[in-house]
Amino acid sequence: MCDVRYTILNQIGTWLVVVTGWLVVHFFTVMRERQKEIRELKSRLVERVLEIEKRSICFHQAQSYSYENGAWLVAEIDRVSKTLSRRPLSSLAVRPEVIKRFRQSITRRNFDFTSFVPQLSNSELIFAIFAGALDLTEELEKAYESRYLDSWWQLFRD
Amino acid sequence: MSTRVIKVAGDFSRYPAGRYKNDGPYSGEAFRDNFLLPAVSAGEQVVIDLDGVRGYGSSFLEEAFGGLVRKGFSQATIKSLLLLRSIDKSLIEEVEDYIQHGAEPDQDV
Repeated sequence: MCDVRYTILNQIGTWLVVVTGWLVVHFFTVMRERQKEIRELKSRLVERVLEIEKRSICFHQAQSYSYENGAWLVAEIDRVSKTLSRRPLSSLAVRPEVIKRFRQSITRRNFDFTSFVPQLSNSELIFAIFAGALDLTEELEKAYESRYLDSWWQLFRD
Repeated sequence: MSTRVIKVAGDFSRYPAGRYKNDGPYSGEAFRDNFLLPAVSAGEQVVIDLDGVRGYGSSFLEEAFGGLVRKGFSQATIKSLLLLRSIDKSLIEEVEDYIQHGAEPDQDV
């Protein structure tokens, strides 16, 4: 009787170890894949922010106003902002105020036909665009670092 | 009675752009004059649905919402009558800033 009980308990213990091991391995696999996905999306978003920065400076320094470039900038900034509002990048919890400042730096002043004046490269507006883009890319990197690279389960990675 | 919803994309334009009417037909000034001013003047509470457009320039938002303050409405009145809705929290934060600082349109917020 005792031998039978011992055997059953032994088998249950073995299965528990197997199932727990599988769950742990599965957890780390899922986390690694998620981190990889977020890292790629974040890198693409940083590139997009830098492209917006470059094209917005061209827009503000152009000799004549361009409706087409203005519309492109508005749409791209919106795309960045919406991407950060939706999953999976919403998990980075980027502060709305940083996105707001980025949009304002480009589209608040000198952005309309009636107010447009070509800007010099050392103008306050151009520096504000540099600062807005820098703040947003820094925020993205910091949010990624804090969400993924500082996580406790990173201790178990290579 | 249910609160009326003003959908910028459906009721105004999917391509809002510009600060003043001289900048284009779908400017912040036009949106303010045609949609926001009538509602606020009548004391009607409305939901402003900001989603579904191709993006907003800050100059549009500033003129539409900050311009209400410059038209003489108090921040408290505007905040109590206009309920903002968007999946993009940065847009809502920006509009609230303009309502807060509408009297000084050039001030950084």
